Amino acid sequence: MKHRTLAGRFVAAAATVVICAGAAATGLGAADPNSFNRLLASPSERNAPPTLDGIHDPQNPGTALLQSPKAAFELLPKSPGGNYVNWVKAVQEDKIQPRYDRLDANAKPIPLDMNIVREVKGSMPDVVYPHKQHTEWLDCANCHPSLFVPKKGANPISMAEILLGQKCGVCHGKVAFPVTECARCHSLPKQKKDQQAVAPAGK
Amino acid sequence: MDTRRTLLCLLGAAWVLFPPALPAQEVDRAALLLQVDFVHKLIEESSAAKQVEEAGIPEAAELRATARELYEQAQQELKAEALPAAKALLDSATKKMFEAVRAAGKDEVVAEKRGVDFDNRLASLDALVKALGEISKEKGKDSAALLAQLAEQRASAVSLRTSGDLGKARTVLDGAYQQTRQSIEELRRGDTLVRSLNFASKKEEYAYELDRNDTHRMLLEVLSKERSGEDKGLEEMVQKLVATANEKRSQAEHEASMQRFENGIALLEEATTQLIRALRLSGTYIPG
Repeated sequence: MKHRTLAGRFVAAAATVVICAGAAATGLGAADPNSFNRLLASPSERNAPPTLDGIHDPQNPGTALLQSPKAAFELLPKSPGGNYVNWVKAVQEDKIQPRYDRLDANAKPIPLDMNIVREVKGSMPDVVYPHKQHTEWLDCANCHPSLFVPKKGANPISMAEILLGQKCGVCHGKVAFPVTECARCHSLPKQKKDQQAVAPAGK
Repeated sequence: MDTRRTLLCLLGAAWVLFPPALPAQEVDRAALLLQVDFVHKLIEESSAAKQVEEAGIPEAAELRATARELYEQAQQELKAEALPAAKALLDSATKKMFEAVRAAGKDEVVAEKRGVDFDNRLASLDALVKALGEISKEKGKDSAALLAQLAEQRASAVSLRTSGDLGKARTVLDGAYQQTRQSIEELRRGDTLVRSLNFASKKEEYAYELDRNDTHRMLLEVLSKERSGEDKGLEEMVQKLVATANEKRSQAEHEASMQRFENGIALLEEATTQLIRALRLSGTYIPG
């Protein structure tokens, strides 16, 4: 099954997962809109059909006609967490072809092959942020400068922020794998750093 | 924004309201009654209806009036149990209402969206051009001519926008943006940048540890909620570790309140270690 999207880079996922923070805030387990994890449904609640997802209006007669995420994701590469789809692999294996430009169907992405390693304290492996996997789908302008200023030292990031849906948490935990998948970002063990054996994360 | 939301809602609803036509005998009465209710709300109570009212545009008002008439006819057909005819009229009423909304604010919506898009793209261009300048300096590459050209394109785009030619302005802006993106890609290809962790003071490091502790608490809260009741023995062990973590955290906060941040850091590290153990015990893989 191949998904062709019409309006931007997230749309293959967005048809069935959260695209509207405002709407999602009123969704599952969202008694307090500012509570932690308000946008990350528990495993049993993930990929719920549109009538039960807390996003769509179950009273609307059209809601029941929408495709269920489970059906949409069935043939996509699997992931153990999040919405159980490995989106990076899905793009790389050409299972989905996100349209790169709303106005130009033939526009191609310009992937940036650059990793950023962020040191963290303790024995926790350092974070590797791979631009390549992100820019195969996203445009620079999706993140810069509104989420991250493209300048050294200009982006202090705390895990608490991410968990509350800011910075990386704008996508991770909503449409991309959740932060409970620690090792996918914290992928550079301390002893390997000196050897410059930087493994790209996100796979 | 209301206009845009309204249109998006309408567009989203459009395809589900007009599914492939069923054979006459297969019109579902229950579904039709729901549609009657939906169309009534759309015409009389929805944000779309309010928008048409507030716009005060005769063409939009006329289209809404037509939608109303079609709706009334549909009601008559329904009373006569002519379900396919009622459905067709309801579909037409919905279409008319969509037309009314478009007539009430299409230009405004499109202009607003294009303006916002232009501003966002301009902000991205500025950020990337600044980054390009810094990367060029770092790499010892002379990009003065390119930067000057990009500045010229930017100025041209802004000038075009000011004069009202937003379409052309966007084209010029996009050209500069693409060139900047390409240049950064060429300069940065294959790079690995390391962002070291350096604290200016013990107070700053304490704040970092506090955040780390909060993070693990949050994770535990969610994961224990997921697994609560699964294994009582395990739950007790987890709670014991959490209690120790809480105690250490309180001590850390006390130390910090006395400006003894070094002690506070050590205590927070111990507290977080307890939480990590609790998380691992709960079955979450925490690397390190």
